[in-house]
Amino acid sequence: MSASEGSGTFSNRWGMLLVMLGMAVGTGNIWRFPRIAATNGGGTFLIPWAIFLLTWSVPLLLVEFAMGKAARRGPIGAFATLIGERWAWMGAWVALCATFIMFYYSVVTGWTLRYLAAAVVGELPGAEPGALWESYAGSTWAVLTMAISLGISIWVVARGVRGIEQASRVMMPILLILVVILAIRAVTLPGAIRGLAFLFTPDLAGLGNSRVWLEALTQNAWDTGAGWGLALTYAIYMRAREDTTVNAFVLGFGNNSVSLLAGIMVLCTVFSIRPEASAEIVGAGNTGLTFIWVPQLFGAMPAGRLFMAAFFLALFFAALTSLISMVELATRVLVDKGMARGRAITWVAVAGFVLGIPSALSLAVFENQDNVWGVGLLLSGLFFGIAVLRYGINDFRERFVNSAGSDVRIGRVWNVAIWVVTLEALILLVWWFSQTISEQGWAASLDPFVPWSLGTVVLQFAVVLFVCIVFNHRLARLAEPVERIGGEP
Amino acid sequence: MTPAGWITMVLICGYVWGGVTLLVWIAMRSERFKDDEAPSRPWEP
Repeated sequence: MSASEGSGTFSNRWGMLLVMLGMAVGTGNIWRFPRIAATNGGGTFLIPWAIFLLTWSVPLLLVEFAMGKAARRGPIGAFATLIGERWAWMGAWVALCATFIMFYYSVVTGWTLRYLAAAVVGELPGAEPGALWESYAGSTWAVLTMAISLGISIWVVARGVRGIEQASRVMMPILLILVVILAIRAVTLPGAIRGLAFLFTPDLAGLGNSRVWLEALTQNAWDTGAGWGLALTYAIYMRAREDTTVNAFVLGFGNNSVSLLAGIMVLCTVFSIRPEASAEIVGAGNTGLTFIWVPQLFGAMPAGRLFMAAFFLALFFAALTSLISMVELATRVLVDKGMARGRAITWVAVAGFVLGIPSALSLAVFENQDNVWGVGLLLSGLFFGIAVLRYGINDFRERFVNSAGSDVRIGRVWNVAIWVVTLEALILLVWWFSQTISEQGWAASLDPFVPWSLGTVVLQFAVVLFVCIVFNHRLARLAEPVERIGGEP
Repeated sequence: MTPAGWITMVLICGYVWGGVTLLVWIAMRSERFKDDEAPSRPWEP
């Protein structure tokens, strides 16, 4: 029996694309993109952001689609199958990185659920801005909402790939419609043109600023889900004659379409309702913008409660569909090792709940984990690039990208794209390390107990990489023996 | 908003939203000519 049998496949292409879009569209699109675009020059930022969609997100999504569909295994099995058992540790890194993110992403999903409930019952915006956030974040209520969010995800994943598809078929259209409605409402507010001007007016001199380019690359890396191993996991359930290239492009462009709508929605609302505080609002950080300012902004507009509830419903669905993909990835890794799916889901549920508690109770732990594994994703992207280079760029393209069922053939531009992705990942990692040192100084940046330090990143990376490499042989031992697909012996 | 802002808005929105529309159209068009995994008429050989 093949690895994918018994798990089923997506019912059709549109079901698969909705599931993939649910994975890609998350809080990074709705709360991070508007803030990062606004603080990096608006229109100036959008130019490199549009370029990196084609030079980072789409190539990596394509690699993940191709690997998952070819290997029909999760990240560990896919790396072992395609480039050899000696490299299973790279797949283990990708899987662990996404799983560590799952541990705190369930907390984020819980926050959105709590705010959705607060918006529905009229608890928001409240008399004191930020009062709800102050009393809720880090409390046992945050543990409860985390557990509910994780429980919903587990319930969906337990129903198999068709269950995930059914959930996405309900949640994604609602999410997309809500984002469009909110964006239309935002641009029709008085003074919204100031938000559009802020978002779209470029300063060409700003293109000479390396930070703008690197932030644009980072945004693409973090909000498309490219290089996380999640698209790879879902690609296991693609039909055999499914296209990879056009689907990867649809996913990348679809994801960034939602980001652009979210940018218009948030910035037009900010510049219409509180133009004098716009700098303070977009500089308030992800949680500050979403959980403190957004309720104030919606509270000040006509029918604001309705739109606020719509905003938090969209945010909850975005977070939940992404969380589901992370739960599925962790489950799939255990299933590949031979564990029954039901038992694997139970393990993931227990680990997800227990290891999510520290992030739910402490914002310092949450920020630490968000920082460490956010950077870890860049290493994951690098590993995908290395995997293709190691397999052989041309062979990989002909065997897995231009395969049966492919809608279009991709040419030698693929080779350039893979080298560019690998180079971008290296540059981004070096830039992040040097920036952290220059901002914090050597002594502070090396302290492993400071949430944002270089030391804590290096220490946690070292521990995980050490475990992955030392146990590589055991990790590569899957339920079904690994048989290389083509490539060098 | 300045003319540069309008031009950037048209270019970026056209690229992203126009891109996804075009890609979905390509996907729909090619899907029509593709057989599904499961035969639509399983009673036929």
